[in-house]
Amino acid sequence: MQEESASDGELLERMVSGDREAFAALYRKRQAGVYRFALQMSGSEALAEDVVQEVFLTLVRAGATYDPACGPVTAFLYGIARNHVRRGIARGRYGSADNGPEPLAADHPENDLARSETIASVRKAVLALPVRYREVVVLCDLEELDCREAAEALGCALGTVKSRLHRARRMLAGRLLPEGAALALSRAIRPARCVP
Amino acid sequence: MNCGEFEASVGDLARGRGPEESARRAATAHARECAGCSSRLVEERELAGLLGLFAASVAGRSAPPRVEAALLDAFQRQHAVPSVRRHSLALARWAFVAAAAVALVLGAAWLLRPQPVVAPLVVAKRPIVAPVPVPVESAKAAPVLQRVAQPRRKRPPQRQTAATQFYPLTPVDAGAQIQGGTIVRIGMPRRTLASFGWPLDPDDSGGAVEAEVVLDGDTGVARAIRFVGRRQ
Repeated sequence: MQEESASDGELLERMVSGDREAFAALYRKRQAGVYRFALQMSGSEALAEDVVQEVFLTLVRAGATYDPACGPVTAFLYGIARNHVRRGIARGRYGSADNGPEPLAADHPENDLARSETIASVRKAVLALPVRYREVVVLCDLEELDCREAAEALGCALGTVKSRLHRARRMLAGRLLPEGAALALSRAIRPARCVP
Repeated sequence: MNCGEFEASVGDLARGRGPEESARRAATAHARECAGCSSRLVEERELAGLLGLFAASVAGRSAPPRVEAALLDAFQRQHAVPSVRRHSLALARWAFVAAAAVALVLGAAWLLRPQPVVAPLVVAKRPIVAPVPVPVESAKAAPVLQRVAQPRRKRPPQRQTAATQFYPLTPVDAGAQIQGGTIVRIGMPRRTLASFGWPLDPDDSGGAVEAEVVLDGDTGVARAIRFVGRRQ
């Protein structure tokens, strides 16, 4: 009960002083986000599982190094996760777009099929993004962190996150939307001001 | 609002977050007037929908329960080790304190130990020779003279010797004893011995005989002599 109402910072503080229940509560509260981030970044369930384990092991060993002035606990966790994901990807540990997690079942099989195909194509487009663009899309558009939290997690400036996010969305639109590529091209040559 | 400003906010506008109400109203008004920006907003909304679909497909995903079990075990181990370390550190601290206390007590005992009474050292102005003892059969049986003090004199290497008794060189009273003086070892030519009237083998008149002479402490006059031979 006490764990549910406690903030991440309080749970972390208690965890550092040896409170096992606080650690368990913090894990249950945040592990899914970290898992999904790693899964969407890599497309690999095995890597996502390893990343969750590594992130929280790092928290157990070095939780005392967390500085609240540097951002919220979630940003701290995503920051650790990002490093492990990058390492995993660099070692070639990522799943193919066709071999990703199964979507949730739909009520109608035909809808289910269309939906699965759409999801697979989105997954493929996301995984095709360069890592620095992919991570801002995953954090801001999929995990719905705001740009400031994403900047803290990624350790870069707010403006950098915004510009990367904008560029990443344009790349995705070019791949996913039928007229996206043509529109993106037309945007590239269009003047900044509307012609009346 | 121009197209550049619209472009900067279209992502948030399409997702229903971000800019303030007034900015949102201005962006929407601009999209109504500008066909390009209007289609851009449509495109962005479509993209947001696709990404939302993908996000929803993994919304229920999380790490399997075995990860939690492993992590809780790791947490338990991590926090068990420091308690053992803390215990060891406490023991080490107490051992150190105990050792320091023992060292302190021993040091104090050594400083406060009863000191032996040392008599003031008196240095004789001149060497003192003990009373001349009785004639000896061998050096082992009776060292004739005992040096009580011989300051700043380098002692010759000790050799095992045999010595005769001391023979007076000057007339002395019958019961008198030499009370002090210095013993000097000399090499006395055999011919000189003959001049003193000592019996001497005529075939062996060369070389010298090792002897010790007692010199009077006050006058430096030779008072007695004895002959010393190396023991084989």
